[in-house]
Amino acid sequence: MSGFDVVVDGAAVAAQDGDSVAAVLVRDGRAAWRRTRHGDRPRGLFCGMGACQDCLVVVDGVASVRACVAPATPGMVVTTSESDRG
Amino acid sequence: MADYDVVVVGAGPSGMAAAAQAAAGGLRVALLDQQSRTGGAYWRHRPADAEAEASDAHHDWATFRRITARLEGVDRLMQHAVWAIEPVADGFVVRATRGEVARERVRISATAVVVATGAHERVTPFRGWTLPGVMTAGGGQSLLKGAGVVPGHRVVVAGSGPLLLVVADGMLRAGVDVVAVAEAGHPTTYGLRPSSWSGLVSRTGEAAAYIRNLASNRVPVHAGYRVVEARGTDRVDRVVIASNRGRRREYDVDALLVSHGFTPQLELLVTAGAGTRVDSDGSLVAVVDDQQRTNVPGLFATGEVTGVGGASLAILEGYVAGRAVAGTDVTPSLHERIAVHRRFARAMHAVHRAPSIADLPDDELVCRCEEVSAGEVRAACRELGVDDARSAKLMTRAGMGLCQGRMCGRAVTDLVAVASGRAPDEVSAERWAVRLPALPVTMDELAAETRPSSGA
Repeated sequence: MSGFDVVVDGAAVAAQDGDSVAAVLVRDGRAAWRRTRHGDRPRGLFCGMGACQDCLVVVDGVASVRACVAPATPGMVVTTSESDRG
Repeated sequence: MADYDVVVVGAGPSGMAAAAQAAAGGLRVALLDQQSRTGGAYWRHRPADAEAEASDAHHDWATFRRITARLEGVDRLMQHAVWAIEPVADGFVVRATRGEVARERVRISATAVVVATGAHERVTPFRGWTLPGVMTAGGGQSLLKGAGVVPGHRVVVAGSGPLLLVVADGMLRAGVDVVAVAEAGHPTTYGLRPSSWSGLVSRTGEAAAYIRNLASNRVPVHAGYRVVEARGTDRVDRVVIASNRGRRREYDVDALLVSHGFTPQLELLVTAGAGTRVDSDGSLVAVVDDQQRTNVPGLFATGEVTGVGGASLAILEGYVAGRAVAGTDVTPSLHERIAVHRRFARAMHAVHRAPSIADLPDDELVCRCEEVSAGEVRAACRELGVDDARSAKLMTRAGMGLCQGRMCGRAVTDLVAVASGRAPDEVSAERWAVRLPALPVTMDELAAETRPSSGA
């Protein structure tokens, strides 16, 4: 299984060939990586198959990327909405 | 001339079977899916798995390999998220977005289209269901099968349906501590309908194997228990299940995997004009004839979109569609096998019913995206005279968010039905599926569609 790194909120995180971005985040121990806009509630992976839109992240500057659909690629820069919270 | 004789939307078991069969009939076939690999949720796998002849981690892997070998001449267009199927004079225009990050507009013309978009999971909301660490059972399983990642180390699997046992078994094998399985139905009542079982020995045997594995690992399986609460602050750490008689059980967990059956993904079919009906599990499904044809000439539907019934049935229907679209005869034995699976599916629907939403507390969210509570929907019914799902959406914004009502549509429908005293069918499930584009697209992508000079 070949591996590579992606950058999540400024830190290198290990990924494996074929991973979705969500798989990288969950393997790294994260359950939540987004906050809702009304209630500021934490969200992460829910449906895991592209339907619920809960797992959105910013990838290489592109917003509203479904982490469960987007494949992780070497050097990809992932920004979560947890990044600007202390 | 169209780009393809047939475009198959959805590369799960049914779409793969349809594509393989259509290609065998000499047609030019494209198979589209938003995921990176074929197989759908059922055969979600890691890239290395595809090379393996056998696999303990995947069901019926030999069938995946066999169908894959028959896809040689098929253009497999992965990472293509289809958001519209438009009937035109001589066939269809299929509109998709290629890539989830670097998005590119794609327009494909086809003489015929087979829709095999499958289903997403249905979760009846309960206290705490939006907490991180609470995810669909299938979503947890996809993580495991697609990346070898477990959703938690100490989990409860809850809800209703045969998927619960499959997922609990998979988690156990991956080393996860499955502390309990809560099945809201009473699966022993399958036995009351022996006619449903004939011809399906392998499936009953499979279920028995799961139960044996759970028992030998001392995992309690509580029938008649439904999940009533997930607790935690930023992540679920405790789960409460309760029986109909009010007996409660609680477990410390770091994840809860939940499923109350499935909702077929009808959006593309409905917006293309396909006729629908409400199936025995309450799902809106496409009406098809014995060749898997919808009422729209050239538009076929196969698998879960014609009624939730599992992968074996979906594959058989895919074969029928692939033959029909290529003008090859469909053998009577294929139809007989489909009929057996349909009987089994109806029996499953009868036993595994999603729990009522009547007990959902007023201050709990029903719409995850727009963060609308059950109380807001009930108040709209009580104070604003709302008595159908569409009005509830307009008045409360439930279902207006990014998921387009996929997650809350049925829950809101049920809330309105309870509040208004009408049947869910009258409250109208169909309106929730009528939406174009079928997936969020950027304004750029939509604007490009109106500029013929830039058209692909």
